[in-house]
Amino acid sequence: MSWRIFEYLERGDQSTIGVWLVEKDITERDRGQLVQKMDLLAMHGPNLPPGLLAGPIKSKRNRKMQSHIYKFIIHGDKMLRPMLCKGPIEMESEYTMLIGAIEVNFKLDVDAEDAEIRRAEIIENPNRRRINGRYK
Amino acid sequence: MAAISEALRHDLQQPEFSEGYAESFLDTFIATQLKVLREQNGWSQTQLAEKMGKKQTVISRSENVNYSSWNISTLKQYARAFRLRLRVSFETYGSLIDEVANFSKENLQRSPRECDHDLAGTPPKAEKKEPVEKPSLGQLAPGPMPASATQGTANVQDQRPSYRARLLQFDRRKKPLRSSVSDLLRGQYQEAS
Repeated sequence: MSWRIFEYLERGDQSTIGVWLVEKDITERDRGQLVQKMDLLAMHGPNLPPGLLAGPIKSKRNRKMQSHIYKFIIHGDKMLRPMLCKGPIEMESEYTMLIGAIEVNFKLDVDAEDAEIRRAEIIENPNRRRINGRYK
Repeated sequence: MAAISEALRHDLQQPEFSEGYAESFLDTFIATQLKVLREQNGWSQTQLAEKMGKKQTVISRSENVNYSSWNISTLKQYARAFRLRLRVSFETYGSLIDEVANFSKENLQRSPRECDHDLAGTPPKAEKKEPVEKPSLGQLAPGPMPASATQGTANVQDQRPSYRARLLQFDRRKKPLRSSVSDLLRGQYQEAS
């Protein structure tokens, strides 16, 4: 069974991961690793490849476990930890990339609560996301 | 799936991207196959660790797509535990497209040496021997249970003639080079022709 991968849309309907990759100057090598993991998730879901998704993630800000928020782990030139969630519209066939994050000194530069806020936004308005063309 | 293959065909032309993608896929492939093979054998991580003389945490760490510090020596140990051989090979980037498309649990499973069809299918060089039926000890002949102990013994003894007939057939095929002691005593010794 294949899964569709969506991306949260920033202002101007730009893909959040696309913007993040440019803003953070992510190398092509790291992009390759990220895309490989996204391909794997799209083709097999989270069950076949062990440890593909890490989480759920605890918010440092409010100390609450964000039970819907997971992250990819990429050991590259930078420690990429983009956050995503299952669904949130079709829970058995979709994942949505919510926010880019980088780990520095074992700390994420983005809080899991921000990802959860975006997830809630998408539930309220599904137009806040768009399917990634690679996984149509 | 086809869309991913098409996109990949384009992306892999970018050198750095393709290196990152291929290295990440390699880690994924090894970690996933280790888990698939362990499950195929019906072992827990602890059981596999015991067979390899390692800790369960080592197995757990290896079965994670984010682990990348593999060494050949450890992978050989896994291969021995699974009764498989390890193959390390350098490949083209183009071949990665099919590998990604065919990546599945079924395609990662392997038959251990004793169930290897390629090995079993090899024609034996030695003459094929006629299988000899050998009933296990205490095994009763098919049919209803005997009413008494004597009948039970008779039941087992019923199996003897088949052995005897087989031995006689063997004797008939091969002319005796020398007679038995009892034949010599009876004066029936004959030189083998």
